[in-house]
Amino acid sequence: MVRKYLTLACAFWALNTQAQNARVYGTVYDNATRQPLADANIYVLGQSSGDNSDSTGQYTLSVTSGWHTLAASHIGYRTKKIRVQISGSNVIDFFLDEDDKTLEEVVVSSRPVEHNIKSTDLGVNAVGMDAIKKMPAFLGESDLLKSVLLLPGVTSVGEGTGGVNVRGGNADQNLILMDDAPIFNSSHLMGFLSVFNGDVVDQLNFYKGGIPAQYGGRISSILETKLKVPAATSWKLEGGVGLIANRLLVEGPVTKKISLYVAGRISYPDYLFRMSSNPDVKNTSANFYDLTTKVEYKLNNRNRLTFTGYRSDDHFRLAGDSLSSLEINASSSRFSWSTTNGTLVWNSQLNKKLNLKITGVQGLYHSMMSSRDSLTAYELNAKINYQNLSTELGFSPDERRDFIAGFSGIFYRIDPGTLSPGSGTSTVNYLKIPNQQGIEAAAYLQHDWQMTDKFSFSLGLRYSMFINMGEQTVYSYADDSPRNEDSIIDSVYYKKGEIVNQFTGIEPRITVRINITESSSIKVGYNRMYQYIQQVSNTTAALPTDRWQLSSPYIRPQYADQFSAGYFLNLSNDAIETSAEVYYKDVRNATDYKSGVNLLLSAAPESAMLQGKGRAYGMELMAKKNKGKLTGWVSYTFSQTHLKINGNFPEESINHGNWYAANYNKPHTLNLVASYQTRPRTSFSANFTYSTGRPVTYPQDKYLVQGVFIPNYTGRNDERIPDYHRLDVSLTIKENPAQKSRWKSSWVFSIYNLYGRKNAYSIFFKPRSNAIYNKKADAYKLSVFGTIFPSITYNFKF
Amino acid sequence: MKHYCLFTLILFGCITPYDPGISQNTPKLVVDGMITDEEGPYKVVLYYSTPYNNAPGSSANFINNAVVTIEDEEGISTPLRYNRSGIYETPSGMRGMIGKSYSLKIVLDDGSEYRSTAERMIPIPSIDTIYGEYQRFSRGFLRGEFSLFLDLTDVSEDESYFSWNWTHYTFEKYCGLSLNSIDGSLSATNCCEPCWSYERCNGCINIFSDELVKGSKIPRIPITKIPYDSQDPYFLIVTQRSLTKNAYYFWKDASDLVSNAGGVFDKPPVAIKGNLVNSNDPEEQVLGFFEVSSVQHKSVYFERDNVDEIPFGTPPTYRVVGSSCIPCDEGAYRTTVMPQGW
Repeated sequence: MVRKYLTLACAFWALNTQAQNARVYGTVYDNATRQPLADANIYVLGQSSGDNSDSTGQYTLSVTSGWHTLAASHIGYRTKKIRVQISGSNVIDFFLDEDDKTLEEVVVSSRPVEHNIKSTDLGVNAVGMDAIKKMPAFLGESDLLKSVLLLPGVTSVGEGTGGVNVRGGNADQNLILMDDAPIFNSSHLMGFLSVFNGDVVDQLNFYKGGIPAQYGGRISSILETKLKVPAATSWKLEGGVGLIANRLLVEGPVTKKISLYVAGRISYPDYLFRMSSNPDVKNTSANFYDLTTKVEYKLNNRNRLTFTGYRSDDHFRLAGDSLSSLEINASSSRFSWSTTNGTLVWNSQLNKKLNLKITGVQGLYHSMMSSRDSLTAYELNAKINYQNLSTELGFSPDERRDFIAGFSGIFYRIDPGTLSPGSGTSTVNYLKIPNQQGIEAAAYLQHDWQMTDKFSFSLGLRYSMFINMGEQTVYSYADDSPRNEDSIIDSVYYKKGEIVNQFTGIEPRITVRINITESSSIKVGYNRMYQYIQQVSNTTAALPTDRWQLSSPYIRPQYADQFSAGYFLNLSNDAIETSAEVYYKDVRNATDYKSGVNLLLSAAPESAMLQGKGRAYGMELMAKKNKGKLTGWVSYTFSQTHLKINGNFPEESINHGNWYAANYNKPHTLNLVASYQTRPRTSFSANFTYSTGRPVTYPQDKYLVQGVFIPNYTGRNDERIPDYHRLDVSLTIKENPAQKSRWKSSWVFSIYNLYGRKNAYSIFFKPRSNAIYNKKADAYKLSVFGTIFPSITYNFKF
Repeated sequence: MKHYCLFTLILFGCITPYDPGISQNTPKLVVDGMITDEEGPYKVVLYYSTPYNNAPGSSANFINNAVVTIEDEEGISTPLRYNRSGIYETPSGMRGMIGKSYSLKIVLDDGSEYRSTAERMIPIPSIDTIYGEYQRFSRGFLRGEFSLFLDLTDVSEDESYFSWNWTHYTFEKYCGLSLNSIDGSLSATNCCEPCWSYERCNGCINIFSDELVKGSKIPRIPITKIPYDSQDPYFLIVTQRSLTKNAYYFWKDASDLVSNAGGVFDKPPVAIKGNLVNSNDPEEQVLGFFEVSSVQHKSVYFERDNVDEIPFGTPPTYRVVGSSCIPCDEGAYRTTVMPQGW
């Protein structure tokens, strides 16, 4: 039988932190007609493993060896459960009976329905790619990061920006992983789309609290994406055509033991620019591609080798002058950035209870700014080299206990910026910002124990260490004046490989779950996180070319203590999940910047960076309906994020050393995500989102110096831009499973910003030269997607 | 930083006026002063800042009873005289010297004293050449425009900071023009004396630092754009000033602020630090800057007759009435003084 993997499977790897070593294969049939059933949901009770059957009814699951209850459910059919002992590879077929009364489908997530009550997950969201693809998407491009924005506790500084802010954290405080490899810039087209190809992403695990000990290195959240395992038994082709990007996926078996896929996306939005009458827009050019490949080599039943390769490349050209921060005049500027990552994983089932995973990651992030004018041609290149080797041992002595112990070592080499003349005739100077290098090592132990049905806990301890290494020159500054180039009094040179300084951090992680009733539980958690690398950017959203900085004698690692608690209640026989979570986060060495400093080419960034305290707290309410024709969620978040930078000198304090709102402090956020299945193939979806406007600084007065009106801004982030709200709708028509031909197609129609609200992206001030004589405000509102955007996407499979 | 535009912003951005309602402020002292190596008098303007949203009202904002002095590095202080509208002027005979440091001292009538940092007058090289490049427009009222650039050579070993401005002069034959509302004809009256009208780039900040330039040649500094509305030569004087490092960063911050177009890749606006402080209260915000500059001018007749196509439109024809004349009316738009290099 032809094996296809048409729908995105959902093998939840890390959610339950359990070693997964056995596999279950099989087919789901309609019991009456004996026809294969597509889109059935197969999962393991009490665990987070699950899969959807493909168009031939087939599914695959990875589970731990031992006794399990497997269940298969499908919209319009009665759920079937089977208790079996599993080891190695197993084939289990399901025959489902039609049920007119209960039209059920697990849409939002294919986790078992009572997972939120029974697990120790606190501040964790898992979203299947299926659910994301059903959401209305801007210009028809389903995007993982955009859908993360609809989860409680997640905000962004504006539409069309790449980064996300999680529970009051900066965008660089999220660790974004794609098959264990870090993504330093998650945006395509300057934040328009994210770098994740929806065709190959299997599952998104998003930890904003209750972070297990195997994760570390960022203080806000872990956004872990797992790419699907190549599983086709015959070659197949899949793709899509949209307004912005085209996609193609080829998947198939090379030999009996090796299977692979290659998926690519390419975008061509330049035709949209050329429609403009504005010459600056006409001369704008943007394009990207990304290529993802994954190869699985099944050595034997117990050993598996997988390789994931990822390459993305973005180019962006703007007409007009160059970046004024570089002080080079140019007629057009080009930005480009690329990610090249490779991950090799060896997974070995040592025995029934012991699982070993060895992972090697090689990553390179490269960004470049350039201009090609002959006399002032320049290139500014920056690179992050990342190497990681980690070993993890999983031990499951019985069904109720799990241990994970591991070690991870990361070597960073950062080239913060090298400016070079872009041509032979260029007069631009060669300038190199010294490289930075360091090792971030961590050892951890995580223990999950379900002591009784009513009580379980998850206990983790991570010990992290960062070693800052030469070659490097460390400056010392005079004590009696603010840190700047003029107050350097001495410097110490460290040889290559010599240790400059080191930091260590003990990171406890605890989550406790107590069941009150069968369908409700209380969870309490605490975790500490350390972060040894940060992005240096004083703009509201970071540019892809903004430099990264390792912890150094002057820039101390940031760390955060987070306390969180939640109440989880399931209603109507688990059809509705509700949760209320509260958190308080205390951040040390939070970073902000001196005003008016050039960060890009400074050899001593510590003279521009300020460190202080941060605090964030909030409450997240969520109700989620998983079953029935209508599925979706509604969430409300209240949050506050403030910073306090109080240095020894007025230049080294912000807002006179008082607490001030962070750029992304948006107290109220309401999200509504709904999908209504009208017929098995047709569904309507809608998103509504509301949030308080982000804080901005308004000028209080204006003054005239040599004919130039200058606004005078006081008190940072004291005001807010107008509130934001938007409604999107979409209609998805899936392929007809009964269709006999090999070629199958589906359509997605969507409308973004249905009521065309001109949401404020920012408020800015431009005093005119004669403005002192009139009462006009000279303030403007910029809207980015200030009208309605219909779109259409065509997807095909062959 | 306006070019840190977003992809999306270019595609779909739309800008609408918005009233944030800022009508209150705490008035702050504003100082706008400069001393150069050119002939004086040098002016220092003192007034109180106005709320961002509001008209300034009256001259009540000007400060007319302060004691203003300029001090050089040798401790010689020169008092300035109050003229009008908050303007204080140096006495005749005072001239800034290249290489010397100057500072400004202000004492208000309530006794509070303000001092600027001492700024050194840095020598400025002359402008090598001024040249232009033609760009044709595909639509609009103009056929095209010329982008004007200058090159200069700076042999100084130190980092140098520059600022440019320009003044465009046209000779006015007629000082009075009137439109006949019946036949639409234009009638003109001669000027009583030689008269030039001029325009400056108000609100422009054009500065440069040679920190990233190798060698002594500094090429292709954009100056302005000249409309191709006539084939007559276009006369302008380009003024090049030296800036101190403090002044350069003051103008750089100001430039970031006034070019902020609201993109999220723009730097968040900040309060700009001038170079004056209250001697007794360093926390008090004092706005503005006391600049110390050396100056070079270069005048140029920019030829506009080397373009293959002729400009749009024809110059209006006037009917000169009578033999009477109208005075040139020296002021913000006209001058009777022949510009340098005319």
